[in-house]
Amino acid sequence: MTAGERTAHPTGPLLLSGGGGVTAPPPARLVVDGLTVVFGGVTALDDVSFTVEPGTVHALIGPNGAGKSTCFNALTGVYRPARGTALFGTHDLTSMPPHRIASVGVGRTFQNIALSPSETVRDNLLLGRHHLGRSGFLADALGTRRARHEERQALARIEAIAAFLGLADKLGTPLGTLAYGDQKRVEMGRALAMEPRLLLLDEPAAGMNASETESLTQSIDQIRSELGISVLLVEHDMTLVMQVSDRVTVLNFGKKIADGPPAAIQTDSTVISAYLGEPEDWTTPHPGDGPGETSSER
Amino acid sequence: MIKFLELCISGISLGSVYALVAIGFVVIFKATRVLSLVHGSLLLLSAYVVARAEPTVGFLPAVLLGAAVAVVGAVLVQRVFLERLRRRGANYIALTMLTVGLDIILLTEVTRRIGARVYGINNPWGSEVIHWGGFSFPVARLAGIVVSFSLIALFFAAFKYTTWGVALRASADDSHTAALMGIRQSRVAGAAWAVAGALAAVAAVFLVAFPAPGLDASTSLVALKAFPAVVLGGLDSASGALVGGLSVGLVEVVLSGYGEQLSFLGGGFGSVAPWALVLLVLLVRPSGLFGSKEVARV
Amino acid sequence: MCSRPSRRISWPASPARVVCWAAAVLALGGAPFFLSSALLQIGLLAGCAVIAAIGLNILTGTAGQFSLGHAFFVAVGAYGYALLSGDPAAANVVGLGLPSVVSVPLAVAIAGLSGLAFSPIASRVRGLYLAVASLALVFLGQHVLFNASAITGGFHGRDIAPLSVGGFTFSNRDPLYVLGVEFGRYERLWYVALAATVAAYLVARSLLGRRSGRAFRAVRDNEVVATAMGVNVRATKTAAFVVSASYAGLAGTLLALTLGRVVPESFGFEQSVDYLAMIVIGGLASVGGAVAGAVIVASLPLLLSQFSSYLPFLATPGSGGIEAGTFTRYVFGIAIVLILLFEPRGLSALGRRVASLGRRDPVAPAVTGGQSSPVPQSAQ
Repeated sequence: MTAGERTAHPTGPLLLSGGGGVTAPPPARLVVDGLTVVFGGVTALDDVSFTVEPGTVHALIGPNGAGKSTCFNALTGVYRPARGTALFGTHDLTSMPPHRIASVGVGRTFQNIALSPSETVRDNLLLGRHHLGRSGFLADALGTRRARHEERQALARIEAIAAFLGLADKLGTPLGTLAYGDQKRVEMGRALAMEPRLLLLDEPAAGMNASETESLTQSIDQIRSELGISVLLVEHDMTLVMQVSDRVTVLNFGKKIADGPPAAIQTDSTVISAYLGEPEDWTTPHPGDGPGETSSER
Repeated sequence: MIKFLELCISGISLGSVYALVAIGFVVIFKATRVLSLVHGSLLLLSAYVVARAEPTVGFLPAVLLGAAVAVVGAVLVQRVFLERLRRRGANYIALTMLTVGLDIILLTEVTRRIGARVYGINNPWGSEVIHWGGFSFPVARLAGIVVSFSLIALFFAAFKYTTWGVALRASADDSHTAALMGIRQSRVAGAAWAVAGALAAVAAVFLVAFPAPGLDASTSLVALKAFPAVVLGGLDSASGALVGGLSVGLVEVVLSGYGEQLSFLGGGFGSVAPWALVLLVLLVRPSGLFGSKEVARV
Repeated sequence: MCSRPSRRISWPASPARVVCWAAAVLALGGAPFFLSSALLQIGLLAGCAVIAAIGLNILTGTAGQFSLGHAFFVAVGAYGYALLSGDPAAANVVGLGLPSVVSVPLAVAIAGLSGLAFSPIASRVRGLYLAVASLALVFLGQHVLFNASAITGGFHGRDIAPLSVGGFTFSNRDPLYVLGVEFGRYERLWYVALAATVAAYLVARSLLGRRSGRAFRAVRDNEVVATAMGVNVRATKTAAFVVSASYAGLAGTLLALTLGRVVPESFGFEQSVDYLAMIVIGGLASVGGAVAGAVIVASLPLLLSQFSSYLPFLATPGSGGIEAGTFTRYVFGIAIVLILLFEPRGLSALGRRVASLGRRDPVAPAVTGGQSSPVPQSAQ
């Protein structure tokens, strides 16, 4: 087997500088301005603006149906907004071809695990490096020296990321056989493999138990402080949000109703009344306690 | 001009028969997300049953028997085979290939029984031709139009007003919610396959009736003509199947009628013209004329 | 067999494995010395099927693009070669008279380009719509083959110029004896076909084990995710079609050389279905599976009819009983159904199971295709 599978590091350090030979470009801020998404007459996202500062964790919260996922999908080119821009550095994410967004440094995870169950963990992680690769179909078919070199570099990087997330001993395992929490970590690992400067995390704690959420909190913290990656986080677990966020934007019915540091948001009367419909999000300290390790439901 | 009108009537007649088969495809697609490639041999089987039974039991009982065989066959395909595979989460390629496998078995068996024979089916209309002011139509063609359109009208009424129709449309729109509302998916699917089988059986009778030469081993290929019809209209649109069926019938018959003037396109272009039409339509509308666009899955 | 070439699992070279490999190499390399011409021809046809099936499996198994039109691209290769290498002086068909060594790669390139030409449809049309669109290619292709008789020879087809490399002709002319065995067309072509098949296999393994292969699988499993990872979905689908059409073109060229004559009925709907049967029986997305499936589907009917007089359950043609051709249709139909129901990953997974019987590591549970959990379309 390959070199990285000697021992499993629970969470080893992950040096970003390597990056498979890619030099990290300067950090950039994400400026979302007047973003509006309309579905057949229904305005799902209405004139939403916020800014994610470099090197911060910015949470996007709101009751169900508030437009959080729509916002994510508009930022990653899944939906085309009717109006508004999302400038990341100098690039407007809303007007570029969706497959180019990865290469300006935006990585994302998906709310429901969107990995390939029949592929190994290694191949699922390697997919994250697609936009960093240069070898084309011909080079891959002929197995040129460059293609092989690139593949080796990508593998080495994947092994480091797997070690960072405590997945080092699972690289050769087909994803579909992993426990739910591990699959969530692979989802995170694939986004990290993209070497993003901005990481969009879509409900990373959904379905996790308390200890898994705890280690996720640490991971997000490390991603910001050690790797210097900005994080835009959609999450229902308020404990997690309040612990890791530098700033919080609150959406309700597609509109922004509040924006500020966590402490201010917690006491904001508009936010509290918006959430009255579903108090469990506010009051339960660990919403994740319920489902426990329910890998079976997915 | 008379020739053109005659061709149009004849094209509508053939088209309405294609529409019967195509509507069957739509119903199956809505209920089980499969393109039934076993339909050609089911159609052949029911025509064979009609041809063999007719001399002893008479026309109408023979048709009923043929339809019953097609219905039972279709339901067996769905219940015994497809449902089993679908429960395991197989994708549409595997499901459709399963119908290919079943088609190979059934087609081999029926064509082996038919051998090199050509069966004529005695029907009430025989080879009579109506002459009316310069026009002349085979009665069988007119009967085809009347019977097909009656059945199609009956189908649309059922689709719109019966519980089965509502359940089918609900499952097709959102199978998850439909299941929560207590709709038994497998029941709906079974009924869908039954309806498709019955429609194909009736279509078979007219496809082998005068002025067609009769039933031989190649009759199953005629069922393939319903593919362009159903894709033209859109796989999940019943009214699209009607429009598609009529267009395919008209294009085929009219172009064949003017074959001499179109000889630069090669002999028998009329019979492949529907396939050219399908490519042209898909080039402009990737989901057919009335098919719903697939929503991006995240 | 491992499906990811770039990370070969280095098994200890057990004596059994060495013996197996040596036997395979000897059998394949020495076949012309101990097989009859009839059996060699069956082997050559199986080789063509292997190349075609590997190509279709890349497109349909790995990239998830359901194609019922593979026979069309095989036809492009076969007739492309016939046209390019044809004798310009022939009475009723056009021939460009190019040297056959130039014609072969050109025919493959033309087939690849025909895949590219299909990309406006192939890259935009999804799922079962694509299946029907590709089926349209087969029927329109048949129409052209029957009617463009200046190029295709129409219903009766046209003769194929033999392959000729530097004065050495792969035909029955100039009798040649090697170790006392007469080397005619099939014996000579055998090594060409063997080299082409091995190359097709190795190239596919290399392609699928790297970045391109992952892009194909990503497009198959979830287009939104693939896009987010930076995969250009439309370009990837186009590439899958070009690669698979090129494989089909090579198969078609070799088929033309083997048969010595091409006729339209070798490239119809039934052949397209056969190619699909090969990859389903062998195992979707597995290169080795495509090889196994193709060998079985292509050679079983020919072998059975070759030996039908020794097989009591088969009737001789015309006697009214079950003939070899009919019998094999039942076998394939039943095989497809059983494999899909009980081992959706086909012979390749069965083979791996057998191979792992002695070892500890279990075979991963079956996961049929991507998106085993259709995700609700969330638009908050």
